[in-house]
Amino acid sequence: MSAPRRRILHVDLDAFFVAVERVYDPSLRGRPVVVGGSAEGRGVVAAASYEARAFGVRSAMSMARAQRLCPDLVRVSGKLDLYQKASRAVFALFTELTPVVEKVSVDEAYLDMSGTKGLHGSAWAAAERLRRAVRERLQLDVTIGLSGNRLVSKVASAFAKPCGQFEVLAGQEARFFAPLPVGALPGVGPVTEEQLHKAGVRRLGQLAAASEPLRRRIFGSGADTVRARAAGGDDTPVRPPELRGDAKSLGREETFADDAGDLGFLRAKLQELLGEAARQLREHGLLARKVSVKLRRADFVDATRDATLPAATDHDGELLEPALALLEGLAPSMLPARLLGVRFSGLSRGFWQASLWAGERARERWLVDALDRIRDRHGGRAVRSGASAGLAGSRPRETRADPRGPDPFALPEPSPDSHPEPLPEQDS
Amino acid sequence: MVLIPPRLEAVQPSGKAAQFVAASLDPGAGTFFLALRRSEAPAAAEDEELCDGDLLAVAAETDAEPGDLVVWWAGTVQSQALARVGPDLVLEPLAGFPPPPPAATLRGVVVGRLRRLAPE
Repeated sequence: MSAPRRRILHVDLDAFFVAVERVYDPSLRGRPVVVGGSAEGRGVVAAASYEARAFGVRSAMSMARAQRLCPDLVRVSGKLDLYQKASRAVFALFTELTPVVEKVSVDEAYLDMSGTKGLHGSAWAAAERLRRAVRERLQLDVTIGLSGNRLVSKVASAFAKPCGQFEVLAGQEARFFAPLPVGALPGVGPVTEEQLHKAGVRRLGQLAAASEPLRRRIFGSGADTVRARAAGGDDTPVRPPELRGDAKSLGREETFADDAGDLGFLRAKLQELLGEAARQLREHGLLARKVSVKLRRADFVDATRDATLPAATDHDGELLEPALALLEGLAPSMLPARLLGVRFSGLSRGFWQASLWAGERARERWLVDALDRIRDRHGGRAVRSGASAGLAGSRPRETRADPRGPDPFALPEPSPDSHPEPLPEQDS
Repeated sequence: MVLIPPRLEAVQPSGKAAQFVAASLDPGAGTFFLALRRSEAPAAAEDEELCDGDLLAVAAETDAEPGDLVVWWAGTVQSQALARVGPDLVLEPLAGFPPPPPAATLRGVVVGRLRRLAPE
């Protein structure tokens, strides 16, 4: 008996950061808009609207260059909390279709729709309903690629941008890929592309048919895999966060608009960044055994120190204490600093077990869970604690009220009798 | 009531698809796009979820297998139509298109379909 046919959606939000900004400020619609830091503050473009892209403005470009390319460019400061909130609202719609959702980033995910035909009809029809639901309920646009595997769906969604859905019909994966340039294959960057061009291989069909010695020379041990991929083959499963154990580390870092020489400010900033990263640990059901702190001095010299914890944890308090000690150790030789980062590694699957915690620890943990819930609803920096509370006035507001009424990205209130769950909610 | 048969119209897709097509275009080969124009909805059983305005990505080759969705023609662009290759390699009409005449030849194999919120 043959395996059931897989139906995989690759869902990508169109110009996501800009689109969220436009929900809150409709005057931005139709204008060349970028999200990013100011040119004076060494900012870069984090996201550009399609109108800005028409001028050659691209992500990761310096803001100064972007403004030269497009003199009428409208710049909006990034508000990560707002985007995460919108992302959670979008992902809530994904999980109405299937529980098998793999979050790639705040604006990109794979959905495994295999076996859902009886519930939702064809994956093609479900994809169309999803696009309409995201637009009608959240005023955002998504593009969807649909096929029998992740790789082809990813390339298909690029075909459909913006605001479309593209299905590669079953059995046509190799035909679809064959005429595409080799650079269209995820993982083939400019250097590899150049090597392939020099070898006379310009299209994926040619790459799939290339000799083994040639593939081995360019791709090494990945030679066989690349042959399958070039023909549209991929059996990688869609892995929801609780099934994915491949994360090596996660963390947060921030480049300051002005170099920071005040240790008090850095302590407060570390607490804030660490709190965000620890929340991410809990969202993914992970525990960390090691914490690292990184400082980048104003002259671009980097220094990192790390500490191993007595036990793996996802608790802010247990992570903060060693992190602050690391910062104290680094600071004397690293100020003024232009960047501060914190990273957790030694990650393992884990969850909070009530039986192992008692008294004050259990109460602290419940407080952490309650704060997570508040941040889910109102943004990651809606509640601050300890030293980081002093940062609130020094930063731009993270959320704004919607002048037209209720917040479109607000998730439903938890029921009043809901019990703080020891496991973090998935944001997908 | 007069039934207007659907038709396929050559189009240049917008957005990213245009870049891919331009990058993949070989004379007489590669992928081309046809827009489906239809004013009548055929019976659901043969609908194939194809709507007016859908773009079909067609690989310009004639090596089709049973089960493939194909575009055939009788030598003119006006005669282009969709069919499914049956188990016995006979072209079976679908989506309201007429059955192919004996002189019909394959124009290409449909590899994908593109739909935007607003039809192109």
